[in-house]
Amino acid sequence: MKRVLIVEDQADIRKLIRMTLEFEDYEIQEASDGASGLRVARDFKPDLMLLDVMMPGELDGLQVCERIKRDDTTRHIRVVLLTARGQARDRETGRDAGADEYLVKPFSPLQLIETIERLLVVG
Amino acid sequence: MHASMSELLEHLKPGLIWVGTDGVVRYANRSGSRCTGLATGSRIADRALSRAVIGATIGQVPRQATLPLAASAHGVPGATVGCRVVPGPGGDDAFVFVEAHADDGTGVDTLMRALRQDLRDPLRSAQAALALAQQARARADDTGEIEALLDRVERLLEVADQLVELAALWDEGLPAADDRIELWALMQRAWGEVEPEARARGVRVGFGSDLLARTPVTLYGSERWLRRVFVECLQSAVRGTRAGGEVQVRHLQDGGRARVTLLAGRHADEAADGSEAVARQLCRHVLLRHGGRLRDEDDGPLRQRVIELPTGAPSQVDDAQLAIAQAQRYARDLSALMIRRRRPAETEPD
Repeated sequence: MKRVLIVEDQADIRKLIRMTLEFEDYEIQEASDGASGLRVARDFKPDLMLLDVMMPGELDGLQVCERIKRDDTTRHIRVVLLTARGQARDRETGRDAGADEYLVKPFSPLQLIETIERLLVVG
Repeated sequence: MHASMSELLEHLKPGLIWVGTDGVVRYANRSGSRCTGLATGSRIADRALSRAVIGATIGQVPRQATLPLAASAHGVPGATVGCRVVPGPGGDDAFVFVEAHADDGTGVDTLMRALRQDLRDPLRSAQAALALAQQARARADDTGEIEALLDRVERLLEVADQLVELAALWDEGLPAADDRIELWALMQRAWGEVEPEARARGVRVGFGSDLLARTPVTLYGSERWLRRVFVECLQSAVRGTRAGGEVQVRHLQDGGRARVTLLAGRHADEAADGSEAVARQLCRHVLLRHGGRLRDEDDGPLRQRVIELPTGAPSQVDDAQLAIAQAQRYARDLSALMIRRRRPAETEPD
């Protein structure tokens, strides 16, 4: 079973993502901020991370993504950034941070599942 | 809305905002609109108020909230007003009762007082210097007074510029922006603007090693205005420090908030320095709009100024409304998700 880690500060959105993923067979874990998301990623070793960009705290999603992709033990993790910022410049910043995909909120749950499947197949 | 209902709400003594959980203002009476800047049909942007409205609606219990006063309603930038949020009659709405505040209606007076106090001394000093410069020009043997005049005129223009910026913020509010800003890079840019003056005054600025060593801390907001805050604060610290002295800048991360402390000397006569008072108001106003604050603390002969800002997420983002939009999107696609879930089972051979 593939492992997915949801890192999102808004509990309601976390719950919606979990509900969406529960339509498929994934082992899911959650974290509510960047620092704990990074810790859980190192312990849980997910195949894919859904990572909110703007989270209160010392690390935002882009910084978490950079660290994940910089670390040899975690760089294989596919990262999908979730954000309310959809401008080309923002997407470019996401790519620079090493993200594999970029979804703009509010995103379609179908689009989310398809993105995850595609990345996990490629991975 | 029925005319008598409108009449009733309009004449309520406290300000009233009737708002739905989607954040849209269904009705704002004159007093409420004046205090908060919200009008019927507009959308609430204040995060705390959004949460209180949703909390009151879902829980069906009253909530308290604090929100910034509209610039035109009050003379003091950064002023806030308390609100009581009670569940509305529709089940998806709430009434926000804005508490009356003592200074209501005195905004222009306060601003005029600030203008008078802050511009008076620099203006007089520039006038005196101008008189001296005219005498010097007549003698043509001493350029010292001319230098002094230039210095004072420069300071006067600086105060005028700050007042114009403050007035613009007052009138138009802070433009919505969620630039992604790295704190250290922001401070470096601000320092780049202040460094020539610090060098000319013989003042050193030491940035704490903690600030250098840390992972870049990210802020979201208006890069232009936040840089302005750091420029003003660094400039003030440099000017308050004697030649040969040092301004110490430290950063402390406290959970989701960055605290930048500037430890510097004290201005000999702050009251006479108009730019200092105006700059402080400008900074307070900008920081408040970013969910932060400015604090001055006395430490004997030193002055400690603390800039506090939320990190990692913009303070103005309306999480509740985004969550609602995401839930609506989920609901819309739910049947498609269920069909998708069933499809492989249906197509599997017996």
